[in-house]
Amino acid sequence: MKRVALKFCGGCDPEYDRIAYCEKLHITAGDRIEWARPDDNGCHAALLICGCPRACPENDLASTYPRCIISITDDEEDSEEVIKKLMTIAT
Amino acid sequence: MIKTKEDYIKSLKEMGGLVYYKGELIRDITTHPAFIPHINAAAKTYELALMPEHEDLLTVTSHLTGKKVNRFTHIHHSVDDLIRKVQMLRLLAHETGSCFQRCVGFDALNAVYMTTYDIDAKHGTKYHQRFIEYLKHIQSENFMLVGGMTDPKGDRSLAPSKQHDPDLFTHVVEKSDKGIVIRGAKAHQTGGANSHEIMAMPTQTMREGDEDYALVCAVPLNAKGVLQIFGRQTNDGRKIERSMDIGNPNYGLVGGETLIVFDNVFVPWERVFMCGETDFSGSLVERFATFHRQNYGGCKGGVSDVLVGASALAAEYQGTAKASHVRDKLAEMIHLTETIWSGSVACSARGTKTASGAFLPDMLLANCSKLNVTRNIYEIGRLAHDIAGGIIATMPSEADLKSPEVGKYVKKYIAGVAGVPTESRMKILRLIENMTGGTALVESMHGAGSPQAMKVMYSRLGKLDMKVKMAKKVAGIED
Repeated sequence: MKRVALKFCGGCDPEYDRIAYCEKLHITAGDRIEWARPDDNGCHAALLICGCPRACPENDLASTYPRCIISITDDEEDSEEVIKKLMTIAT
Repeated sequence: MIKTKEDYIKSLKEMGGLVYYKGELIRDITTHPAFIPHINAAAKTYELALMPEHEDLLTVTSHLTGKKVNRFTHIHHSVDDLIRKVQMLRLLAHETGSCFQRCVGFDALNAVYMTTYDIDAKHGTKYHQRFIEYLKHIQSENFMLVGGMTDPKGDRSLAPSKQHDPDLFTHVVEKSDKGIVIRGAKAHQTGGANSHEIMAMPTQTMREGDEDYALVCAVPLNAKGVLQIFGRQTNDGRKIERSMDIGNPNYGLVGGETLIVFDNVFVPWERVFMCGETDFSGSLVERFATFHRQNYGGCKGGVSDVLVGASALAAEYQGTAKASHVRDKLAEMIHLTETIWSGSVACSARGTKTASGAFLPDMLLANCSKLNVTRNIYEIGRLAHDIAGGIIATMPSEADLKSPEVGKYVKKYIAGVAGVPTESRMKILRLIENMTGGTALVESMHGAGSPQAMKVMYSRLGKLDMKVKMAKKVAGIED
């Protein structure tokens, strides 16, 4: 099981339902991933769920998780593909 | 420390304070229907800070303590902070469809922070350090503040000290080694009834002779001598009915304003941040106004998003959604909304660092943003009325809908397209009525200053002399 930090942007004017997409990812991941808060220690990777392509918090998170962040900016990507990518980059 | 909505409501209950409404002292505003919607709206500033999907906007690291604090108690230290502020306001307006009130105190904190630094630099006073200690207290308690700028002003053609009644502008009436005593009032105080403290500031530039009116101080709203009188709003009787006729039953109609009276209120020196420095009253007013005018494309942009959605839904419920003129009106509403939003983002993006290290939005663009709001909100409302139809002015009440005698007729004749409950149609029409009538529009006109106040700023900041030079150069005119 990989431990993944989950962070959202603030959601000022999102272009899709971030929470619904996140729930879909949770279901898809099952017990492959243990989700943690962004400030929790010992995470293998980070998933950033943003409401639009600007992905405002990306830079903040990059310093904590260099090279192992996946940013979601729409709900079009297949959830299984996202989980596979997370499992691959998790170090 | 206040963290949750429940903490916030408990703090208001425990605080007490004197709040009057329609001639009566309200013993507990947290259980009174005239106040509950406004309390709910302000409580969103606490609730969203605890939600993972919103905390990135609602919380921030304090530059004073390094601790995580609510953004409404933060001092902006970058352009990014300024932008995130207006993003947060748009988000909160999406959640409430109304005014959540807490930005006024937020703006007061920021304006006073940078101005106390400047006063000390010139006069060798100790206001800034004093203010920092106060700010730490506000951040650690997570208190909600009122930004108390507007005095009653009496005869607008006369200076504060020349008024027939000296209390028409808030002023110092006594000084001692322990503190000062103030008297006067602040009008139109958004969120006053459900805030913890007021930051009283001068309402305008003060001149020689008006030193007692050049006053900035923080006063708890339950201090001895403070009382508040809650203003009436359009259709406020519907709040008492607690019916769907109010339109926005959970969050009400704009902020809920009070007249805050200071009847010989003692303020200890540690809560005084300007006392007689007339030379800084003007810059404080301009900075506060800049911060507050920066907001309006955020909060009113967010409110307009809700109104656009309500108008689209009303059209769908009555079968007009596909009409080309309706689609065009909705597109125009979106255009006007994004125009006011772009002003708020622009003045934030062009923000600059002050001597204190805190950031201030671009003054000219902030004023421009607010002036657009005074116009665009009326036009957005007009288009919403156009789409919704005259029924928002003539529709029967919820009581009629639920009446055993006439309810069946309301259901039958107020129905729109098949399959949509009449009640749903009535709810969305009532929301449009709530968001576009009376008090809602006036707040967009005069909140953060009336349109002429922005025009005055244009004459000072608009660089007209440079524009004349440009024209001469292009036209080939040589002096």
